[in-house]
Amino acid sequence: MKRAIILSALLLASPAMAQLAARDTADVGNKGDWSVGIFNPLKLGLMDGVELKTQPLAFFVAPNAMVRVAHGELGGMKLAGEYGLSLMTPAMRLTQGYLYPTWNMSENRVGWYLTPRVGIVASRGDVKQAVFTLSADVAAGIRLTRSDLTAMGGIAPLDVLMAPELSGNPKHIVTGYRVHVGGLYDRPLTDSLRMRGYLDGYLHGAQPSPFTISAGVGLDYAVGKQSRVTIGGVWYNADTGDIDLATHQHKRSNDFFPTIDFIWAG
Amino acid sequence: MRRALTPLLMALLASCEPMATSWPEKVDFPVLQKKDAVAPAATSTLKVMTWNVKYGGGRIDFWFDLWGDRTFMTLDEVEHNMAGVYALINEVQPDILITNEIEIDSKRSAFYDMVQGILDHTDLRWAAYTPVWQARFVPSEGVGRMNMGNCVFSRFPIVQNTRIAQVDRTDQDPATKTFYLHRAVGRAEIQVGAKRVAVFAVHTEAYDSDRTNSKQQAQILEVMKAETLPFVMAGDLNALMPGSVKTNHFNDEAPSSIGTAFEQPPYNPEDLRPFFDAFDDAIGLTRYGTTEDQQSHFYSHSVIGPDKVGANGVPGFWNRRLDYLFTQKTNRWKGAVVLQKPGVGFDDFNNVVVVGPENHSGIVSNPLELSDHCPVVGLWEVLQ
Repeated sequence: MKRAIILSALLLASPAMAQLAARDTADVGNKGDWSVGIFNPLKLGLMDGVELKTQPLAFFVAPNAMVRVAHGELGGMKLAGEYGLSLMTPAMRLTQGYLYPTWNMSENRVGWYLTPRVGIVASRGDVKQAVFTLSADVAAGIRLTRSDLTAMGGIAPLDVLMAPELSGNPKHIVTGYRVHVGGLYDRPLTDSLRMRGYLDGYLHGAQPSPFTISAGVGLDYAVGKQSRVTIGGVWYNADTGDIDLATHQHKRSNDFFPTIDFIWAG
Repeated sequence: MRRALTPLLMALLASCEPMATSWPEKVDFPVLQKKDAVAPAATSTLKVMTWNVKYGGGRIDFWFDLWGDRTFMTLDEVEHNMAGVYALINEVQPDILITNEIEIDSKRSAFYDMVQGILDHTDLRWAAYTPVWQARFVPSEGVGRMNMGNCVFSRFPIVQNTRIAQVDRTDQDPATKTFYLHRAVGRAEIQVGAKRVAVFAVHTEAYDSDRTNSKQQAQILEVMKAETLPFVMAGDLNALMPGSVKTNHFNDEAPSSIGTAFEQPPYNPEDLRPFFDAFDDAIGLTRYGTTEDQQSHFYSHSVIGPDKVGANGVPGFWNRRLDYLFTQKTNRWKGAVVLQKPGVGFDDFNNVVVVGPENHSGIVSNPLELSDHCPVVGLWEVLQ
């Protein structure tokens, strides 16, 4: 009972009484707005209605950038376009010997890939209230030099992440693709606490099966005027090559991962 | 609320596949069988074949052998190599086949199920697979998902399949040890007519520096001595025959392997002496001989194939015997052969023949192209 009272007090009384806004919606920040998490991307408002998004933790080994542009409203839904580019090769080469082969006795190599990504996000609702967001995007791996890598297999989030580069034929110019559609519902529980639930589907090259589903729930708790702590969990359903030893039939894996982050904003 | 959440949380965690799998000391595994499998008429002599099939890798040089740097194969390559494996099994027509290094859903073998493949493409009807290396992602050289093991196949019904854990290596760091093999003895019970027999599938350590192989052999010896059914113990013991003349400087040892984790540890040919004292090997010490020329007819392993010139300047060919078939002294071997090359085998009367392929009595397939081990085949007369 005592613990419940303390928890309720914490949840209901945020230090600065900030009202948290939904995130990952079609709302694009104004010039100078920013936010960054340990794992969540850095978002920086370049001008009103245009923001830059990048993963700072991975930037120096996997340069990546995305421009988000507000595209107005349609049928009561805010629209934003996402246009990104990433270069995963340095990170892939750094992990040779572990995630990828070293290949020090042959001509095989980890080639250079450029990965463009384009997407659209549509949201209905005020960001301070309940917001429903739909998103769709597509990414493809463009091989710039010879590469001999194939899909890693075994760990669904990594397989999905690397699908544009590795889910197809390494000899083709387009070495793989990833088509993603997702839905997100984010609503306030109190001024300082929000909850979110999301469902995502991915279509990609066979690794070994061509689709992955994920879903998650989470809580965002306000810290200070702008920042927040996020905590939750995500489930992945994918064919990572697992087999049922009784029947020798492939079975899809179900994996659960905790999610936690601290997001600063200003 | 807590009562409701606890089982839910446990169910969620239980559904997660671990990154690497280990097993208790003794655990039963499923027996797989061909659809509508029917047992043939019982016989007192069984043709038993043991073969390390090198995960369908044929003569592709993999990174840990240090003659090449391949980590994984394409599905076409695996299917091609396995077609050769099926062809040789079909030529021999064993009643019981023991395989080492057989894979069912590994990234390096394109997730090809070799156990199901052998059931689908040969006359073998039951399969008892026991994993020795199961990990969802081995973070070394991009090896990735791995499921490799030993398997006992039979034309007669397999009624039990038990995995008996072997001791692990103690000379590895914790991370390597977590994702490394956990060797095991697979024990299958087979119903041959009214008689029940046991088959042990073994494959002991290859690269240890702490005598793990020797400890595993001692463990196998204890299991064999405790067995009450007539049995065959078969597999790759990674050990030389007692009395072997050639014990080091093998042609297939890559010079670059020296000083690495994949350096061939020194063999002690006396390691297997207790097996020969207590049980009958299909070849036997007398037939093995005392000269390198005599012994070379029974060699069953070469890391490199005929297309690669080895450390001694000659193309790869079988250069040491590592694969064995043992039974109790109360049973007997009516004949045995190491299938090194085309033309070797059994004739229609089950006599061992070592002749050219024009004789049509021996095998047509060339085992040297199919794996880094060749099969050892024995005619096992169950007298017990």
